[in-house]
Amino acid sequence: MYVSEETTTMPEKLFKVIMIGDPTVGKTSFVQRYMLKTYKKDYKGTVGVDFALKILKWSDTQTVKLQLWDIAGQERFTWMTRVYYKDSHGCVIMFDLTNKNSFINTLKWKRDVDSKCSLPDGSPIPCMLLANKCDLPHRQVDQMEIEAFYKEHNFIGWTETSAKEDLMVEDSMRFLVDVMMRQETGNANLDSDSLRLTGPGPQPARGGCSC
Amino acid sequence: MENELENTSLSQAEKKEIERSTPVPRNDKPVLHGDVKTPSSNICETESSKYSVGSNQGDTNVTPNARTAPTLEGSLPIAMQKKIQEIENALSEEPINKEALKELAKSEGGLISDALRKRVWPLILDIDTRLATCAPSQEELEAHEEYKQVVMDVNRSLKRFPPNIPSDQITLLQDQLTRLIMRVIIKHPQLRYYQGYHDVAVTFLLVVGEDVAFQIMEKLSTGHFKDYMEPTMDETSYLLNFVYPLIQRMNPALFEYMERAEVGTIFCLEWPLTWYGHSLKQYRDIVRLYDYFLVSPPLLPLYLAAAMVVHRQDEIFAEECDMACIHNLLSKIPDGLPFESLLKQANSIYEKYPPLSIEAEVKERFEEELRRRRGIQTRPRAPVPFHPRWQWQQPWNRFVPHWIAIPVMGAGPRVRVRVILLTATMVGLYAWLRMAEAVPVDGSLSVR
Repeated sequence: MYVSEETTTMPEKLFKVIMIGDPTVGKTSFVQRYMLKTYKKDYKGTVGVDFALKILKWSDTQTVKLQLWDIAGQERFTWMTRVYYKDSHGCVIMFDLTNKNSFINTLKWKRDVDSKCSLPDGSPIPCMLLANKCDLPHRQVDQMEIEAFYKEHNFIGWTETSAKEDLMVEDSMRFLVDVMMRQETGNANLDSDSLRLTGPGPQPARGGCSC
Repeated sequence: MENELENTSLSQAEKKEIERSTPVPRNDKPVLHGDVKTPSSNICETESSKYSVGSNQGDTNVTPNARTAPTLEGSLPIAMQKKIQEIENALSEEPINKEALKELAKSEGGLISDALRKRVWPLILDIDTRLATCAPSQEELEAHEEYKQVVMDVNRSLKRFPPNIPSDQITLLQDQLTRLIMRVIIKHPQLRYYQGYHDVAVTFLLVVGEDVAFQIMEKLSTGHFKDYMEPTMDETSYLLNFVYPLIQRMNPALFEYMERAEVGTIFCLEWPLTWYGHSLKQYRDIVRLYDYFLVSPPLLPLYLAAAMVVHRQDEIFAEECDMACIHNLLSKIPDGLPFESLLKQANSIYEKYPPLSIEAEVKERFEEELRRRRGIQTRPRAPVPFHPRWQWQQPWNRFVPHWIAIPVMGAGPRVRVRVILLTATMVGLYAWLRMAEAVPVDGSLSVR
């Protein structure tokens, strides 16, 4: 049911990625944007776990099957949904730029993931930090703060996104898949030192996505 | 409330944009922080996901005036008209024939229309609608720790409201929904709100209005939904395991296939939690199920889950024996399932395999799940046959101190501790008796 024609002859890599973060930060909208290029205003909250699969033709010789597990954010569900952390290759931890608390809680989510799953060699799975809803005014989280936070807590990278305006959705996921690919092929050193900032970096005077 | 809804349907007001905030245009693109080169080749994508289900806008609800029976009666099939008459007859009996109403809520078609539901639902739940109480003040609602979460969930429940309602009406209904949920959890502090609870509440709000909906939710939250509202989800997790022994009895091959794929139970989590209100697209299916569940034992929604899974066995077998594939298939309920026959089947398996008869297996499964969650490796689980003789443990255990309670089949390491305690007690008792025998009343030891 998932396999499209062009994928059948190619070697395939399967990556399982979990999407976590506080309720209403936009996980489901992000997945929907990434999968279907759509944004719905009348979406429903997630009860339990939703699943999505995307097949990427990564190169002429490589296909990537990306499983996205969109996990309910309410704390009381985490005890049950943690089962889905098992065997995941990557993780997206999301917060809402207009909700400081959701940013603070990303640390709790990160620790939760690190305590529940690791790569075969024992190292933590690659975690990407996404600052969603960057299209909205009234931010509560400062870029410098995120920058310091992501380094300190060993995320592979962070970016601002907007599922609503389709900003950095595709690019961020490509970034994560690339990290997972490099890890898989063993030619990547995943120390955070190997990841540097691109572009202009944080510019407190002019937010990358401020409105 | 009733008037509000009717006004809504009659006014035919222009469709307003629900989004109240104006999107802010922006040109600058955020940057990715972290340096990884992306491949230069094109990435083409295909997808298959829950999200690829076509828009269900418009079919989620029927407008309230289409849901009221009397106006439609002329065009209704004879069987339905007959049923409406039966419901009316039961309602007009003195005293009202509640037993007949309960039967009618279960039998084919349920209570037919929302106008009848509005009258019958409170009756079959023994609710006195005259005893409506005042809502707490807005300050009191907002002071509650769950308030924010409830508001967030209510704000994204738009799909559950009838289409074509003007946005100010929707705002009003959403305020009522928030208030009615908060009233229940403020009045009963032991009950914890969960995401999905609002899906249940909105169904009652739309049919009976805020005050009666509060009374219904209060009754159900301390009854049918009590286990889902405990401080932790342990009990919920345990209850979900009921589905598997039922599938095993109805279709052993399917059970084996799903076990091999390690499908787990989360695929059906939202079904009992929301009485399928979160999952079904057709409003009429949701209210029909509610008719049935209101007069059924609390576990019936799980029996329906098992019946539904078995009904879809061909689709399941057509999938790869893989957790992700089967989870994905099952978590989306397709349109057009024969709910009347599935409900009948759920009811008949409930009678054939009542909860008590499969409880031991459920406990065994749950213990195994707990062990797995804790990351302890255990040997593969062999199918556990049902041991009816262990049923007497339950009443016995109720009357004895917990430390000599008879362990339940399949219970964990605590059982071993209990057995040791029990043995030690027996040995101690024996020794004491022997001592009493050896030491005569005057206290001198008899020397032989």
